[in-house]
Amino acid sequence: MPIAGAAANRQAARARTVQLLSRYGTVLAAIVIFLGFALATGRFVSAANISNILVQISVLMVISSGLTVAVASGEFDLSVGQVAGLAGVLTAGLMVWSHMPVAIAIILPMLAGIGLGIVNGLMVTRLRIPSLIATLAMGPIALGLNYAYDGGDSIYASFPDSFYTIATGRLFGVVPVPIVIAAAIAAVFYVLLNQSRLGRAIVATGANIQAARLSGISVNRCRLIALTLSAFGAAMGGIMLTARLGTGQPGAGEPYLLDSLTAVFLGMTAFKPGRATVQGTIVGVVIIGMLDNGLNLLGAPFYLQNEVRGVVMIAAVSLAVLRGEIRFF
Amino acid sequence: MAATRPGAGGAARLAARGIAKSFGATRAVDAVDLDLCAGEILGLVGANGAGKSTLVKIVCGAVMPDAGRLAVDGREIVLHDVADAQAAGIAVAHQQVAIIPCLTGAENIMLGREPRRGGLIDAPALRRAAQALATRFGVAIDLARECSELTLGERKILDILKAIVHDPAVLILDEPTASLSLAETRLLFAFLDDLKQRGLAILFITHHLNEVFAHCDRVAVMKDGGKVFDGAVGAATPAEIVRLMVGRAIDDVDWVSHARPGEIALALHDAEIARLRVPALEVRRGEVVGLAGVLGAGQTELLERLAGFRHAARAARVQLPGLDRLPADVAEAIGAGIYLVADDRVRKALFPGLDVEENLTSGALAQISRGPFVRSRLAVAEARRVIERLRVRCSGPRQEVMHLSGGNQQKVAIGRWLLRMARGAPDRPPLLLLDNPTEGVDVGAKAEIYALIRDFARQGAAILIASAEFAELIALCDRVYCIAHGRLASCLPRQDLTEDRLLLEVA
Repeated sequence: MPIAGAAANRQAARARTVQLLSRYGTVLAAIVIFLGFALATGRFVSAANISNILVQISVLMVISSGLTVAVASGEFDLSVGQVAGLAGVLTAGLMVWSHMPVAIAIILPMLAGIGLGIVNGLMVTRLRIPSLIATLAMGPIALGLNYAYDGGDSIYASFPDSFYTIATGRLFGVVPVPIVIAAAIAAVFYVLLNQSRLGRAIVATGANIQAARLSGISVNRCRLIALTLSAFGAAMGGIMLTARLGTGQPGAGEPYLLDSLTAVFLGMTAFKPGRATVQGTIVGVVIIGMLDNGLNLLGAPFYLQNEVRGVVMIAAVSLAVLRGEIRFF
Repeated sequence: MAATRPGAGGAARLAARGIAKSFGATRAVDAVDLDLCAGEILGLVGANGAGKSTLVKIVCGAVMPDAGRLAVDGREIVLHDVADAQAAGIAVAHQQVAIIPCLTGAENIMLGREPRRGGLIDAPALRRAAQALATRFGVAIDLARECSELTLGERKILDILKAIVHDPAVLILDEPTASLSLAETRLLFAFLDDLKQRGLAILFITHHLNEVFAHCDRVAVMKDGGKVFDGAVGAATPAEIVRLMVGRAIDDVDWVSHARPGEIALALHDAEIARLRVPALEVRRGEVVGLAGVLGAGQTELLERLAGFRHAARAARVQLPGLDRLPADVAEAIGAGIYLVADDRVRKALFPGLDVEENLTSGALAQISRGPFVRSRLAVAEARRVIERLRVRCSGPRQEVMHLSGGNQQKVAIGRWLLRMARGAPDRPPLLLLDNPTEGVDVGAKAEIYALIRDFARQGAAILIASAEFAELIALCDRVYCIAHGRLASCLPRQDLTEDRLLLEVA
């Protein structure tokens, strides 16, 4: 009996270890990456560089937070990159060409993003096109609109000073504004998914749409709102990107599709395995940001960053799929 | 009723000795011996969770046993996967028909082993090969037609034909009649008799005892992982087999009707829901009414429609709690106090990946929220109350629901509505719609769920319950409606409820 008890204890301890690893393995990986770069180059851990990393990832954080909501509802949004690009160019054009006040030049592109998100949502809920396809098609549509607006050229001009605040300003003279915006957006989406009624319904829809329907949850409303929020996050990120770059470039948003998907998938391996969560996505975004920055500091050839991105994406997804946490189709 | 050695056919083509398999602490199959002889049909019966499907999975190579030996035609075999079993001469036709509708019959039969010439499919050779097989087994289905034009019964026969292309020694049929009409079932059995004459050993898994007694030569009964009977069908009566399956006579000493005469909760007259015709259906408050029918007879669609799910339906007269028509959507039905516990809980009633609390509160989001925000502490408190009340065995509200046992998962599926009722429901007693509420649930949890259902009835709830397990309907119901030939027909009062009678009525 005591022997059996000890064996059971050992088994339980092992189960706990496995569970801890599956929950915090990705966080552990982030820490290992941090320590690795810190040992490799002293410049990595300097306060200036860490602040730099956080500023660099703020755009990705905003876009990925929105995408997290879409994935939590069980839908993909492959249009986030182009929607971000469109919003970024719109905000530049409205200020430079239409001489609109900064506030209007920020709000209108946001509304445009929301509009495209609603179209995504309607395609998925009314036309019953799988989101993978609907949003894949929305990408080139947004890019086309973008070219139509600016003739395919970048918008080079100096913007009003107040616009640069969202890229280079400092709250209380200390905390960079983009970090504040990213943190605020992440917090809002975190509360939405975890503490709001709508968020619960969105997560339930993503977990089992059939059961959600039979529970009286209005699943189409949830999916529409989730895709709209995703496009909103993308538009917001695009505006911040224009402020950081100082120009409106039609193609600037594109790389953010793969990065934000990678961040969300990485996040799905952390904390609540198999679920898209904002806290998980933050870990994913931080990992991507550290890899980019660290490889730069080490003077790695430029193409290595692309390779690493792809490999990290595959690693994240295969980890999750192998452990049965994500099922595709 | 001693377990006799088989003597029906000839030599044993399949011999299994001491087969055992455990999953964690559960002994799914416990030292089972099974012989299958040439020219016989052996019926394998047992309650849900008795170990039938695990045994079948072992024999067809999908699951490795912990112990035991298998031999085909006296040659010992070790199966690592399904392909091994096929090579050893064991063919399986699964419950789900694996026929692709957009291909012809011939193409389906030869799928994956098409004759080729110069790297391309040799279509004439393919047709000849398929036709030769069909002719050999006396199948008269036109193999040039697309399978989408065939009836379910014809597709089933093609599916079996496809399984026996390899000329196997043993054929395993997993609930082959589950979705067939009576005429189609007869056609299938004529075919099986033919196969039997040709020396094939057939293992037939079914829930329908009448089929066992009409068509099988021998019957084996499993209970709790062990084989409790194995003998010629003549050696036992259906009632004896049922007692062996369940392990005890159905105990109904404490059964009392709580029906409140006159207080109609549900009435449906002259209705048609999906493909099921419903001349009349009535449930009173406090009453437990059953729906007996073979799987897929339309009972699921009926319950789902009553719960507001949109299936095609028309009805001359409807009476529901607070409604005089069928509900427009699920939210309206729930608001009126009509709650459905869907069948197939993993697909339709639970949220895999979410925890127990999130599952329990999924039907009452508005009730546990203030404004747009969920009151987290209230949600956890309510979840704990349901966990305690239903004795859900879990580590707490934060445990993931898929880590619970089947019985506890089912309690969560029912508990969702308990929580909803506790947090604001209409004043009138609810209408509970239960679809196969103890599917894949162990005996202990089953008894608890039965007690819970009776308790609901005692408090005045009207309960309509569909079950593929007739023993369950007999244990619970005041009355049972039987579904036959796409029609909700005879209604049997409690005193007439016997397993035999129900089997007869649901033909």
